[in-house]
Amino acid sequence: MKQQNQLILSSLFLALFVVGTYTYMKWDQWFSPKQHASTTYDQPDMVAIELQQHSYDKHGNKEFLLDAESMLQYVASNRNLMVKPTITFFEQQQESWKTSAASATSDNEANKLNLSGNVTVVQQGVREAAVLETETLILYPRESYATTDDKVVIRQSGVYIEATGLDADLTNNRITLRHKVTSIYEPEKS
Amino acid sequence: LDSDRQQPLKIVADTAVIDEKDGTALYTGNVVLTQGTLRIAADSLKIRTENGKVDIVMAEGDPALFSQVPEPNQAEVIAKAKNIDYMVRDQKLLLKRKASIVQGENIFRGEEIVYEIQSQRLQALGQTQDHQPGDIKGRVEMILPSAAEPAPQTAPAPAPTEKAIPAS
Repeated sequence: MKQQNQLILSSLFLALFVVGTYTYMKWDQWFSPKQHASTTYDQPDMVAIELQQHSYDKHGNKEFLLDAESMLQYVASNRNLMVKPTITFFEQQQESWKTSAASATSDNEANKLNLSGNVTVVQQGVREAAVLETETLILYPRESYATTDDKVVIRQSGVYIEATGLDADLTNNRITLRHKVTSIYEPEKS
Repeated sequence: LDSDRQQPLKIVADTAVIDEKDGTALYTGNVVLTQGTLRIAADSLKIRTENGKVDIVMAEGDPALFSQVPEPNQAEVIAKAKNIDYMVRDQKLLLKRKASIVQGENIFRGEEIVYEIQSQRLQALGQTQDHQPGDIKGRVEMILPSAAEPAPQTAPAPAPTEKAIPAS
């Protein structure tokens, strides 16, 4: 009878030991998960204030100029967050279009920018500049290409156009409006 | 109306492609253009602008339709053709291929019709000047109502008791 009691006691101790060790190993993960996730997102790898990034093509010609009030860069998640970005495009070294927005996110190389908030695209260097307004715009600066599914308004002297959905080839100055197009042309002053 | 040309020109369509470099815009899909009482409905419509003002409208349809009230209290002018070019500045219409213009009871048909909106004068041709393969060589057809006919002599209504004697 005595031996049986001893056996029960020792197996109880063994069980307690195993459970204790397991709990000690898992303690960090169970009781401080939030703290673990925040280290990935809150700390940018680089902060730039009054950023200016000039981009040139392989022939050394100006491709685009990226300005931003500020930019946070997260290398691990390949993300940039920009405040008040402006992207200027060039055609034969002359400014052709200027795009600006309240904010933007992009990959670290700025190959694709998601602009949002009062997005405008303004033609440069022409007497009757076209001005394009929308809420969001996806921009591929190296391809001078922009696209949105949102409502778009285009104004140019004497012309007002609105539509839903747009694809803009900013090199060839061709704008495709995808749905529900309404245009109003002011008459000639007689 | 004469005031139509002072009205804004409005276009509604499914899609559009704007080409800034050559100053054109191509509208496609249920295209309707309105300017005062002037109206064009077409499958596609190309606009060419100069200094932001519309210079020429080129509509295409099967057929494209044009309508306008030329003068107050006058019958609407209705024109149809495969191609309708509306020269906004010159206020002239060029209808090509299966063209027809109807105003009241006057009907004109031909392969090409030039219609001057202000003077309401028109010139019709049996064959389009830019003749393309497949274009028919037709003739001009005009249907004008005969001169005002004397009002028919209405026989006095027979008294209910009399019997109308059929003419022998």
